[in-house]
Amino acid sequence: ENTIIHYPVLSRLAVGQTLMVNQLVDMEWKFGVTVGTSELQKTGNIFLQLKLVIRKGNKTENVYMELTLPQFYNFLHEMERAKASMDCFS
Amino acid sequence: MAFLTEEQFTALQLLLKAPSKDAVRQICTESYPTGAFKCQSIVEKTANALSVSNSEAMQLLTAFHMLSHHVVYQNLTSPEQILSIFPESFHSNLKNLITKILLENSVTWRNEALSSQISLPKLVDLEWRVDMKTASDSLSRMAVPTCLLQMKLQDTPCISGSPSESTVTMELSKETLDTMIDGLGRIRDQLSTVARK
Repeated sequence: ENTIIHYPVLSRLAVGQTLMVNQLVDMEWKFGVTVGTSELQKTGNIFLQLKLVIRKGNKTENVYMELTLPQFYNFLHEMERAKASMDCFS
Repeated sequence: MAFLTEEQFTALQLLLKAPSKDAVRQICTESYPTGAFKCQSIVEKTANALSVSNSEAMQLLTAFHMLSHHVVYQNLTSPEQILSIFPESFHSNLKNLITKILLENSVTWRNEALSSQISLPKLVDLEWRVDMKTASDSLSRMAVPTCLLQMKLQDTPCISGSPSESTVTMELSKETLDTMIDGLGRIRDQLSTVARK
């Protein structure tokens, strides 16, 4: 009886223990405006910086990157497509 | 950024020895990239085209390099702004030609400067795949969707060296993907708030 009651919990734990490769564990971001560079006295470019934290075995690795706005919108669009694909199966 | 010296304006007038307007154009565009005036082959090519010595060619390339970078830095977009840089004694037709060449190229040079400025590694490509986990050592039967995401990053050094590419592949569970989309949605909202201000 106890096993039947706890089965959903147990199977969820088992799923949680299933192997994941380079699991994404955290995401941080910041965005801002570039006001000037050594080549351009005045500019007004928006930049977006992402930090992705990936678990590799026992340690985590930080991956830093920069995206332009069009790249960001494309990224969001692709992730929504992936989610739609995943939702088909649940 | 300092204006050019009298000596440098004199060096620029060596362009009067060019065989054609296209030759002037070519010398000007070749002198723009960083380190161009230190490149032996470009100096020699310029010296041959103008029938001047290597050191005179280098002075000319340096002078034009400074002038063109000044125009891009200050974002000078009208002919009057550029013409006012030259001294009164400067050859009039050459001044107009140089101004024309600078105006023709400054948008391209400005965009190049924007795309090659200091930055974190840039995202150049993105691929994803949704898999279905059907079994593992913990469960003989399961149906758990998971997302694999591969991002290609390119790091372009500003000063010297060639771009280096790296690939990072990661796995996201459904919950992680939902949280990520939530986060990206918040970025989108923050961006539209900033855009509205």
